Amino acid sequence: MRIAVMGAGGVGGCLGGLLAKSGNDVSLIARGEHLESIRENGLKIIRPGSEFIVEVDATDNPLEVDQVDLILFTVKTFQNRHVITSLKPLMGPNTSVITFQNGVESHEQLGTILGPNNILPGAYWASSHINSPGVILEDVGARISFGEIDDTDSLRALEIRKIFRDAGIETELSPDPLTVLWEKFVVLSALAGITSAAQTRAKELLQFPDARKMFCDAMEEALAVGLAKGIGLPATLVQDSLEYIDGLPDFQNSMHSDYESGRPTELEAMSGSVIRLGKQIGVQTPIHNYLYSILLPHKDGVSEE
Amino acid sequence: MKIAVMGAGAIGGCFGGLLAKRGLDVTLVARGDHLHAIQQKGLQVIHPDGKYSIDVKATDDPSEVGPVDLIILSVKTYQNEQAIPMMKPLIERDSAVITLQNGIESPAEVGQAYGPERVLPGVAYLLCNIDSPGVVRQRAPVARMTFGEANGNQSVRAIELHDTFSKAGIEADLSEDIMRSLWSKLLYNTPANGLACASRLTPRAFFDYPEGNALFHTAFQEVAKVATASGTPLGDLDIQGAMKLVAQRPLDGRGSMQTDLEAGRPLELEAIVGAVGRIGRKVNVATPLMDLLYALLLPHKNGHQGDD
Repeated sequence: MRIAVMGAGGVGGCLGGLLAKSGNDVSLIARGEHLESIRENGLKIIRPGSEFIVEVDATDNPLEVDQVDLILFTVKTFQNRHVITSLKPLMGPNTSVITFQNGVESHEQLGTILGPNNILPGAYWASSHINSPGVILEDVGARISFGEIDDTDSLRALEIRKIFRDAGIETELSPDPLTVLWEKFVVLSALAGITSAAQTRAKELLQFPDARKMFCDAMEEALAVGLAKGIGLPATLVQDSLEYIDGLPDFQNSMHSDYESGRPTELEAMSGSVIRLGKQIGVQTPIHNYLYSILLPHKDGVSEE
Repeated sequence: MKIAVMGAGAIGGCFGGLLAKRGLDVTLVARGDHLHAIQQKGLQVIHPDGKYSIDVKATDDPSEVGPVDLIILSVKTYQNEQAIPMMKPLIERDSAVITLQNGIESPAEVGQAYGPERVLPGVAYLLCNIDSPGVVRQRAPVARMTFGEANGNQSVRAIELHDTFSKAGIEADLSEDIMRSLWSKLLYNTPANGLACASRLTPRAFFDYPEGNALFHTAFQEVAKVATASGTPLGDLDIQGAMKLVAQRPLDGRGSMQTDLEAGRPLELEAIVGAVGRIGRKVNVATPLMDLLYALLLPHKNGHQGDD
């Protein structure tokens, strides 16, 4: 399959590298030193228990890629409005686009410009990041889920699932991908907000009953927004998610990591989105409002002094 | 008059130093390197108008001091639990205690241990810090404080203390509503420190963002409501005054708790932020923003010195 990966960072680089290794025609769209290194030395993927280098096309100019069968859209959400339009030349009559991003608004943003029927919302669970230019380090094996918004086992979705599975990626085809996105969003928006503002990882922070309560209250707010929008979220989501987070080993979510390092953060796609969608549908979100205001000054990163 | 200063940090050092300089019988109760330096070289005070050195008694053992007429309690609030019991040898029938600390709970804590009639709550208004062991830096030319009897009486002892302070060059105000002074300082101090610590900006820098400005206003309202419900009415004028105080701060001026946070030292989180939520729960006032700030800062409460 002819595949373009928009954003070859932790998520895109890992998926793109695995798909290239299993024989697909993959083009990575990347930038800067990372791009230079991939062009010169190939893309190196370090997985739990294995590592490999794969030769893969890489460019910073989508116009060089031409039409593809599948686009994986894996940039940070704050880049969406700059890059979505640049994908138009890659769209053929049957091109599918899977979004693997945080938040719940990306598929709509892409749909507006690239055609809503071409978009398959996806979710990604793993921990992977650019370790050094050209090198992706995957701490936990990638697991993905995606599907058609209108709940059909389309031929294209089945075909795409096959190429992911053939590449060794644990893949689930979801009949209700928006619910999957929201389940992740309810947890992550709350977690990203409180861990960043507390500058403390979940494992330590959630030992404090006061902080656990804030985390749960923030999840309840996002859950209420989702339910008001008609998303089929389970009523036990907050309790289930708390247990899920408690069961994970110590980790740092990407927004906390970005905030701590002074890089731009996905605040708009996290608390910002909870607030915006809550306002649209008349649900109050006080905790997310506070977290958003506290984190807003550093949203675009902190310039190095 | 015989005076003991419990906690000869920046505040205790500056006020204790001024009283000793005036010739009063002052003993500083301190610890560690700071104590050793004072014992060896006297207390050095760097004042905007110049430096002075005072040969003042200093010890870490209050039983060496014996009963005094006045104790100034100026330890960090999280040291109260240790410091208040240590004061026992200093106390006799007529000993008075002035608390010069952040928060509003210290007078009650001292009162519980030694009787509420001893306690004159106080507030220090003085920018100062410890420069190095034995050296305190007073950043404002005049050392100001407000104190008074909890019941508002202009008692003989209060008037005497006021006279003593004035003669030592301390700009002291004898208040008839001292709890209002304590709450007024907390009204400002809680949002300034809590929001600055959470946002990792100085109070003024965060205030200059529209969203930060709105959060300051919400925070001031929460503290004012708790103060009002617990018997000290603070209203819109007080909130406007506090907003103005933040607006006038220098852009790079940090709150005391923020300085401690950045240095990895223990925080006065309970006295400055936690107290508002705790008291709010007793008087049925919701404090969602204070509760959030408290929860966010809890992991840093005991400091990070000695961490990896």
